[in-house]
Amino acid sequence: MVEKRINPMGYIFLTLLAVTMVYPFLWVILSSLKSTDEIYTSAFSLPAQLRFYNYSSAWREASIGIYFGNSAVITLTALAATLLFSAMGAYVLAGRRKIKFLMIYLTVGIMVPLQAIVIPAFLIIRDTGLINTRTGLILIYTASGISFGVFVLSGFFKTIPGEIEEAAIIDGSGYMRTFFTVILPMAKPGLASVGILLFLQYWNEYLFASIIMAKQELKTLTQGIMALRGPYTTDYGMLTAGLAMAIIPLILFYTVMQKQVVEGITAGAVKG
Amino acid sequence: MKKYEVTISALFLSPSLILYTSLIIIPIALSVGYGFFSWNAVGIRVFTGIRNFRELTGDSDYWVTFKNTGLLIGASLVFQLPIALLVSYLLHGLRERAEILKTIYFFPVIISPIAIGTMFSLLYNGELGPLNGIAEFLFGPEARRNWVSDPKLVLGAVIAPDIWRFIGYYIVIFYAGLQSIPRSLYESAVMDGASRTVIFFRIVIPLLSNVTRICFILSVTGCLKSFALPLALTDGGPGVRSSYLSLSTCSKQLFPIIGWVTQVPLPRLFCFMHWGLQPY
Repeated sequence: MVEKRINPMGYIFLTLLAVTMVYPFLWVILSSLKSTDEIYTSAFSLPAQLRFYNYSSAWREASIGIYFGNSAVITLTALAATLLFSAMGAYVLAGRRKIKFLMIYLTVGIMVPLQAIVIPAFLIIRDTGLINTRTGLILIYTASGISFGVFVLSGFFKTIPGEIEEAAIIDGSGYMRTFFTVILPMAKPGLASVGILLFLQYWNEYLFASIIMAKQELKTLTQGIMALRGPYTTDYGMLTAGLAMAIIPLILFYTVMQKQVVEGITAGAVKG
Repeated sequence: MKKYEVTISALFLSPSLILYTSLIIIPIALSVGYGFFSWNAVGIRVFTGIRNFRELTGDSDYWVTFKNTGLLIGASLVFQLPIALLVSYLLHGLRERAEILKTIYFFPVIISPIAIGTMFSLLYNGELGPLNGIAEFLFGPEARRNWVSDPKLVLGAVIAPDIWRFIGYYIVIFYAGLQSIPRSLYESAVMDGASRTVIFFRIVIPLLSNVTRICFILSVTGCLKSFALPLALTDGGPGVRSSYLSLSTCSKQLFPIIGWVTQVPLPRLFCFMHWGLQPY
């Protein structure tokens, strides 16, 4: 290493940057424990007393609880489907019979931003009667994650030596069973990094959710946050509580798995 | 046996192929095609050639969003990447503390842009937002601003969180690049009496050129996709003052139509679609 000491200016700079990364979230969480009046009068102080009133009213009155559940169901189902389908596809494409054209075809979607296909995809969903259904949104999410999944997982399967597969087949295991009991468990690290990135992508998605889910009881969490902001009046206590409920689970998730999260997101990005 | 293997391969490929083709590939093709028609998504389609594109380029709002997108890209390249590179270089000299700081810097990357945009709309808020409080504390009462309603400030106020959000992402990528530079290079440079600044400009920057290229591409394409954050923060307003190409596509044209309330003709919208077809 060059030298371990860095000058004080460097330290101050690094610390200030860290403060800007933390403070906004801290402010939201602190504000969510205040009454709306208190948010107006004392933006910087700690809450006078801990009150969770905002949380219960956001959870119930603003239906954040329902939206949260919807987001969880949609995200997890779409994630499971994407991982399964793209692992199956990637396994074939990484196998001995390399079908190069299909590989290019399936991965070219990495380059397509969802905004570019929103109208035709919406019309297809509408014409198949899947507007206002969880299935519609799950299908769109799954389709949008397949390219990335196939891309990363096929790279991963290539690193699994062919002998392992052969050994399994000689031992009398069929293609299906080899895939599900031998290959898939070995691909866990690859599945984890794809899974983390897609989990965040689906959980945070807004555009498709907002056009497919018009019914109150089907909306997702990102729609819920947007809905908390009325056009004329906003209950800031409730809004900050809603934001906090969107942020805190991710803080917990990140604290527990920070290493995998950072690796999953950046590895995907560099490869993609 | 052979035939069985072909069947099962097809079986394994079919779910992803079917979903992906029907919901990604066909919509891309349709999206490109729609640009040449005048159609409101329910009536008859009339072929109009390149008229939509001419209409679009003749629209001054379009050029405002075009310029804003350019400014966002410019600001990312001038602030985001150099700050990230500098920070990763500073972190490289630390060890354990580097891991903690990196973890903190990375955190905003995982938060939904909708939540971040909403959060910043609160921070900027003229009455209760802490930003004006901080500005007043540092520079006196005249430093208070209407961050998102002042047309002169609004674009900067929307660009800033977009840049801030992803700094940690590029720090991690640059940091990984720095770790791959052989330690012996630094050591011999130090032996020859090179200062940290010299090492930075003569060793780090040239050896990181590949990583820098990746970050450059990611940053530019990230800017082109920026959508939910400005939507949640200002919805591109006032007017289109803080709107980007990707946002004006959807927010100003799409949302009213999707409600099927106002069946406004779609041609302009489909034009925007083409600008959305950027690789990333």
